[in-house]
Amino acid sequence: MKKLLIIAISFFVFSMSWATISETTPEPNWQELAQEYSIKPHHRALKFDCVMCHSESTPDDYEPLETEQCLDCHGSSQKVANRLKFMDANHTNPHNSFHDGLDLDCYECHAEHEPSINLCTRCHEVGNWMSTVK
Amino acid sequence: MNKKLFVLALLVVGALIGTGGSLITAEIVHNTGNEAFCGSCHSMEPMAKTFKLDVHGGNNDRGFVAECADCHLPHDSVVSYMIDKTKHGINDVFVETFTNTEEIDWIARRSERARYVFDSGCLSCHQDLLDKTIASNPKSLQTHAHYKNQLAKEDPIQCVSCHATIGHADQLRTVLNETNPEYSFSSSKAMAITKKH
Amino acid sequence: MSENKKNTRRSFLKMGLGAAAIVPVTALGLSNSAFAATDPKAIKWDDEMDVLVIGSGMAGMIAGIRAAETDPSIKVVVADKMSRLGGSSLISGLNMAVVGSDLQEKIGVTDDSWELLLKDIEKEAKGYNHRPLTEVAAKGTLKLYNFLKDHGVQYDMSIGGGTGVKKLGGHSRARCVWPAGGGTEVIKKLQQFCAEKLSNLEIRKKVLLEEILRNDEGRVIGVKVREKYRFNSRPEDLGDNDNPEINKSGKTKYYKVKRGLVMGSGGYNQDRRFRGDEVGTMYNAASTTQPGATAGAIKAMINSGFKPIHMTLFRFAFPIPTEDILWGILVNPRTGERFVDEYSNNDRQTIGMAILEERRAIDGEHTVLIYDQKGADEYHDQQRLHLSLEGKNGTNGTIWKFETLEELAINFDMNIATLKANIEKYNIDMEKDQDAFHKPKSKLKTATSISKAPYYAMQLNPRYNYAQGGALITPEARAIDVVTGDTIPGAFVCGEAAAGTYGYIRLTACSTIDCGTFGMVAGENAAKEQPWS
Repeated sequence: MKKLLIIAISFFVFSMSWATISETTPEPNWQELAQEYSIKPHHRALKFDCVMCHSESTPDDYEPLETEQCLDCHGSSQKVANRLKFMDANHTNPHNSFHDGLDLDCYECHAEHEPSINLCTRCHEVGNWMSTVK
Repeated sequence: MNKKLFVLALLVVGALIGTGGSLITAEIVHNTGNEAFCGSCHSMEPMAKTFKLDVHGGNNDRGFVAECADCHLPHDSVVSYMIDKTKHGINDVFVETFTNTEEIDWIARRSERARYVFDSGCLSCHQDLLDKTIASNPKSLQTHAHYKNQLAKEDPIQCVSCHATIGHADQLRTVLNETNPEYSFSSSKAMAITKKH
Repeated sequence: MSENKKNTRRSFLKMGLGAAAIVPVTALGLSNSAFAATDPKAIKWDDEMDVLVIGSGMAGMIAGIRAAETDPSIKVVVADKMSRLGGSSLISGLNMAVVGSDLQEKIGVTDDSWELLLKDIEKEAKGYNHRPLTEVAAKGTLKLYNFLKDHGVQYDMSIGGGTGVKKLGGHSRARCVWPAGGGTEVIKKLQQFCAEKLSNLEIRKKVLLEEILRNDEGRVIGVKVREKYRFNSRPEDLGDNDNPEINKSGKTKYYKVKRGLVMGSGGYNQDRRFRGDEVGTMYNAASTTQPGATAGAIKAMINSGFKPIHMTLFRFAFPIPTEDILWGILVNPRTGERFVDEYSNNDRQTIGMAILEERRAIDGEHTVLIYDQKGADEYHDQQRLHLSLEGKNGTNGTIWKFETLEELAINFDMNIATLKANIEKYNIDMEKDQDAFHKPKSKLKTATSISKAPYYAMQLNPRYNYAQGGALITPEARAIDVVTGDTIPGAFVCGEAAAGTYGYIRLTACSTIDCGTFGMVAGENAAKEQPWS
């Protein structure tokens, strides 16, 4: 009787832990995620996957990136601004603009999983200042 | 004279000519790969100017200066190096002398950088890059591991796939815009006659 | 209400009694209050500070700086829900009316006074304003001008023909000055000052105010916020960002505010639904204030009992001075016909509403303002004209130049024949001073016809850029409880978020002085409040 009880309890505990573990760590459907959260052509050309940018342990926990995270690869606000230095003369360098200097967060304009917007066009006509925001 | 001496003389002369030829070739190759040489052509002035501003072009506290050929010719084998060098040498001289280089759209060419910047060049100096375990920017360990992973795949990425403005201090586009502006804001007439859209 | 109570309230405002005079709601015999009281012991506070300022525009920054300077031992936090600091101030010109500046002295204007400024303001306010509040703004201009200078702001000396001071429409003296670089200059210099000199002031981005918490005595004790909030500028109605069902970003936190909460949260001009509920046609108006100018903050204030006033009032802005419209003609692009007197006594509301109405009839297409060279020469504000010609004058602020009327017509898809016929009619009628819309020839100086090339044109559109509505305050910048009529302890409002300084219209170059003078008052008073715990 005692033996039976021990076996029953062990079986119960084992199946509960197995169920719990498999409940808490299901493998994310990466294919589906990649389709739903498509990335921009310039990042896709680099064969990036989700974990190149997102460091959280599961996709459910993924948060939108902060500027510092973009700059882990893109260097610094100064470096990004330097690439468009020829626009400084007109004060229309989007990364070193009249209103914001180096203070803008990347996501004011740039989005990865949806089209980016051009913050300047909220108020200005930018036709001869710059190209489309990537 | 007798045959033996003749053969010996041939060998000696041959060796001398060979050595002389090799030394002269080596000297030519050596002197036609650096900024002073490549940069002497008018169309290469923006490239030379921006190279000098770059850490690879002398703008460092080590006195280190790379050569154009270090990055812009393949270094995986002497043969591919020499073939490419000869090919481009002939092409560049011809184009510079007999065509109007002002018509070349250098700004657009920058997007073709994967064609003319060689990983073997980068890695011939940055030899231990892919094996590092600590780095001043820890993110680079992840990205270079990714690069290494991709080497085994069908269509690997290249150093310049990410490092798009390396070697020219991020300023090549800016300097090219001095003579070939992409946007019309710099001309005072621009706004006054632009149509609405 | 009884005569007694009215007088008490008015004298209350005049004397500017502070927190000490507050009578608990229960003692007034009122059993209902405007807010749900919070028990501070029931809250698990995540952070605490002495003074919390909501909003990082001119009002908020000045309030924060004054609070931190008034008492260097206290902790001041300036919080903004946006990731781009500076509010609407950052992108505004921020010209300001200053009485008695050194610049005014230099050009020989010695007979200006705060009373004269007050008179100019009240002419536009048409009686809607609360004079004790307007007086605070009118009296404090020189102090504000010097405060800004002392904190790093430089003024633009190139305007006013090199004098740095100008007489703008509605002002009876030349008294308006400009920061060199507009609002950007003010915001950046104040931010720099804080970073370098005020170690007890911290600026936080992406912190959304959700609720203002008051205890059972009605005192403001703290706030419920969401940190790491992400404002989304994509929705058609930016006001959707205040709906937690639509914008769920951020993590809830509770801040204990020990001395004072200062609301420098600006206007609600970008909130279509909120402003459209007040005035129907406003749902579709344009606005070039910052996208974050939604009603979340005013709603939080109303929700915790702050008394809102002037909510239906609005103020149009044009990218060019209203008094430079009359030199040209406004036409409907489809018919080539005019539809309003472009002078209209320089009343921007009349001209603005006429434009919006005309646009409604042509599916929202823009009406076109056309000048000739004579009109351009008459321009008061040549600085603004050139900004427009360079395309740097914001949405619909661009002025295009054309060598011929034909080119102009092609650009705006107009029929050249009907346009020319209408211009011809205008010229003939105006010659006889018999304009079809009664536009007075006497006001037009040399620009009495559209005839001299080159021609200039823009798609003139009114922008709803200033919300007179907001929380009523006392001259000490204290908020008023909507039920009791008493001041709310620990609560201050300043700038566009407050109301009562102005009225039917706000005189140009006066928002800055409202933000600045009340910002200073609010910050100083908040720092001096006795902590409740």
